[in-house]
Amino acid sequence: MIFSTTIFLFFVVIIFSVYWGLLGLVKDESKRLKARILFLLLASYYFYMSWNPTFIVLILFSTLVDFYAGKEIHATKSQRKKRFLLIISLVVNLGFLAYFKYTNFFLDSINQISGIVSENGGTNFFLDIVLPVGISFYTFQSLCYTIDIFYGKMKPSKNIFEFSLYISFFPQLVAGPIVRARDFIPQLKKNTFFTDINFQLAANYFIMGLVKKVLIADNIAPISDALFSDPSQYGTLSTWVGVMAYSIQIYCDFSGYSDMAIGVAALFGFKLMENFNMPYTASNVTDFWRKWHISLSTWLRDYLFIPLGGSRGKEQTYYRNLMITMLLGGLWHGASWNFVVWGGLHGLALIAHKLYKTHVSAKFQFGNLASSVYRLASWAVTMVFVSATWVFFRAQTFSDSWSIIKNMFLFKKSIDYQIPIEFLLLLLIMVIAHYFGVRFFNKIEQNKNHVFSNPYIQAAIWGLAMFIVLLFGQDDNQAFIYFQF
Amino acid sequence: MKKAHKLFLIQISVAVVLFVVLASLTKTFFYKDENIKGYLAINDGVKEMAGTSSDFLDTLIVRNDVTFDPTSGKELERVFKHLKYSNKEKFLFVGSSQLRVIQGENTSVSYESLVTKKFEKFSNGRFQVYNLSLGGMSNPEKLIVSKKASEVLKPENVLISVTPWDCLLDKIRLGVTTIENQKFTNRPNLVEDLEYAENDLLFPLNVNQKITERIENTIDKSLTIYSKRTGIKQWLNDEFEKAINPTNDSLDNTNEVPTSSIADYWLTLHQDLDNRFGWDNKVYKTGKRSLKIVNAEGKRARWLGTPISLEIPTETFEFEGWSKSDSVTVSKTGLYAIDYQITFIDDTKQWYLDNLIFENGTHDWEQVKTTVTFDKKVKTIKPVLMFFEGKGTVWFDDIKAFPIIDGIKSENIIPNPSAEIELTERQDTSYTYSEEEWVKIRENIFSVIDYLSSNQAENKYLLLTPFWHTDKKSAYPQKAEYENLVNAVKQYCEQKNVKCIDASYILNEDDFGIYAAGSVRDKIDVLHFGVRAHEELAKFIIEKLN
Repeated sequence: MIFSTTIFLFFVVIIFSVYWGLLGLVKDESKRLKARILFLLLASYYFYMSWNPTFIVLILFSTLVDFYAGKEIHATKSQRKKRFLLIISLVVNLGFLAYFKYTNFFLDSINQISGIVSENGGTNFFLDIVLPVGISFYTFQSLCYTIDIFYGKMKPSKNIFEFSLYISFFPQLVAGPIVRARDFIPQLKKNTFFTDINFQLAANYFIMGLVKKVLIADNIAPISDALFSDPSQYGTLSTWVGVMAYSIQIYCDFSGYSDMAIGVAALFGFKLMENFNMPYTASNVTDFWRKWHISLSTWLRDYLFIPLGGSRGKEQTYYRNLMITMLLGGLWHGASWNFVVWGGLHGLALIAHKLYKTHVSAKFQFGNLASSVYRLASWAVTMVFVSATWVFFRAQTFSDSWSIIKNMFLFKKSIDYQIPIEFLLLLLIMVIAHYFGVRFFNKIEQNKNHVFSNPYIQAAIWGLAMFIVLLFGQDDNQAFIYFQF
Repeated sequence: MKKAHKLFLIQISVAVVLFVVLASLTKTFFYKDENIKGYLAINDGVKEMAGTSSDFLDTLIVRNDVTFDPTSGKELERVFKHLKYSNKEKFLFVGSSQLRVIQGENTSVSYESLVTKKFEKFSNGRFQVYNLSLGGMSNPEKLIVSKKASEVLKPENVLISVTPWDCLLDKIRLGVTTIENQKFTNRPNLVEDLEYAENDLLFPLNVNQKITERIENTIDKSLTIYSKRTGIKQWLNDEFEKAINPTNDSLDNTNEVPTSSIADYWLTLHQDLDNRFGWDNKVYKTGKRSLKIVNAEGKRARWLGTPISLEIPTETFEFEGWSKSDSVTVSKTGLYAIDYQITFIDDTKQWYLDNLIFENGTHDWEQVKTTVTFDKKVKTIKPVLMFFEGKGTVWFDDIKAFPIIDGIKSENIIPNPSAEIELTERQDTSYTYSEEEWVKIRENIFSVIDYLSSNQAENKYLLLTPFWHTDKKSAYPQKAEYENLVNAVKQYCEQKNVKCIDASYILNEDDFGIYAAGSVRDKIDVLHFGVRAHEELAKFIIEKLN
């Protein structure tokens, strides 16, 4: 069930009604809490199985392994046993992920290498493996539970249903945000009342997400699709338009989904972390990674970068750790060298920024005007870099990526095929709206006297948004980009 | 109830009321428009196309005869869920629109005339044939669908068709991605089993689909802005254009009646007039006709011809042409000029328009003329009469190109230079490719052969589909390149134990259809053929089977 479909809205209405209505009739608080957790768990499993029923077995198995591993890690005093149990958890989770997601990637790489070195055309290994939806997300969630227990950052959950719901909670199951156990499980222990729910906030998030996804991402997709399906036909300006269109599309698609997930979770009294914070206002690549897919970047920092050594030790070690984290982070996004290159480029950019900050910019002081110009230039360079690297994310093949990058930076005139240049203007407007829009939203959240905090104005915006979404939404429901992960 | 929640309910009510008011106002103004019939026709036409194919799929499901996807990928998942079960020897066809389109006819109506249905018939019931071809099917899509279908059906015979045009496509549509990671089963069609197959497992996850359909039907019936949104969007677009261009009479073509059809050789793109109205009989330099462009919005308008091959390649040309303008402004990145796409004998290309640029503003007939010597010999030129990102009206006439060979000026080589001649013979589309593209086409076909080779079917076929050709022209005019490709493909097929069926030239020129007259694509459809041709192809394939 995709979030922007009528069936999903119908599903949420049913679950919401039962959760607050029917189950609200249970008088005993502790029984009511248990009933709600169990009900949400079943609903979440139903949601997942609507994609493919078979793979529920994987989630169940992973849940059981990590629940009992977590319990035993906490209970045992032997460091060796703790480590052993943690390894089991890592092997099971990463093993599933490796098998389902990366087997054919490695086999294909072997085939390509053997094709080059062998005289007989090389090997032709391939396994027919179906990728379970959301495996990259729930695997990471499950891992952070056992790792946090291992490091003593949290105690294990005593209730397997609570833990299962943490792994499979439907708003964030298939495409994040990646939720930490120590943030989410305590929320499951609280008996939230219907009167505590901030419906306005939930509605604002959901409608904002819907507008971003259905109105912007889906309608802008054909522009980037046109470029990426046949890059050789487009000149430089059109290539830029197509690439920027994809930058906007991926942001609106993914952040729109995250917003809807936050809004839906809020309807049940749960707070999920913000996943995006105006990433296209970042003035450098380090800043970008503090604002883009925050749940993943913080996960990688805490469970990969820091255990590798983080920024401790020599400068070279720090850079090595950063590069490994970004390469693996790239690979997490997809089983293709394109994604590894994307991660690698961001790794290099992060290293370059760090070097620049340490050895160059620290030596200069700017006056106000120069400072503004410098900030603007930094922003522009960051935007160009981020947009250019999205090419590797989206292009079908490596040679397409390279072809598009060349078109972007080496002037190429093409007359026969053009993506309308008016869209460049539209995209610039969207970038500016992105900057002011989120600031504006945060402002009205903080200032209840703001005119747009007026509940009737908000209601009018909801009505208008629904009208526009219904009228201008694309007919095909384009699955969220990140669902492929 | 808490105050905040009461307020929330009031907010919901306000939102719903506003939504209803906006929807009602839109509906009211929409239905009041004088062109409402046209908009409803557009809306219903688009819906019917989608609906017809979807309804047809429903019919096939009820008949338990799903061997074909009438929705061209949109509902591929449903097709795979309901593929016909058969004990007979199975034959799977996968290809692009050539295998699923009867030129000029509605597929739902002419379904029985498709090559695969004829193949089934002519093989005297030996095979159960499946045709999972999709319009514009790219190579990756063919591989995914073949693989998935082979998994489900376990066919004894698999045939994949290719033609250079579809071997450069890379895109994978959503419908194909949807089935890629799913498991499908193929069960015998017993009533109980059909229900079981519908539910797929012990509990009814497919209830989602029924609920979705019911909800969407309800919304469709009760919300005009949803059910008529294609028409409404078109109406809003036209209202917006009228608002920003209130007095542009040239947009109103309904008062002008064309006296003839279209000019020979020349076609127009991205302007406010089509091929008929753009062939102007009121303003001209010589004769009685000229080529007109009206560009109210500053689009990338042009008239263009097709590439002209030089019998004797040469480096030197004299180009000339005339143009008249009315209230022309051209943006900084725009062009109002005669431009030539030059292809040299080494297949490199260049655009040339030096000294062929016209003045802006309003002027009478102005001539541009230049002589140029390139540094390499030229093998083809293609004229493009540009009015890129300019606003206003222009006319072009007497467009000529004179090759100069060994210092001697030859005759003009541009057909119909004064736009006097009416098109009597429909133009054809042709597809030419660069060397790199031919290499990519070959690689893509080889990957199909590799896949076929690894497929578990007993018999594997690669079909080179037919295309339009005459003694002098062809859909693929680069004959040598095409022949090299075919030879390489045949050799590789032999190596990989895949049978190559070469149907490239089996059809006549009359077998191919025509796109809509007066449209930009007012040409012969060089890749799609009619009923007789489908039959012919079916017989040819049968002849070539093992």
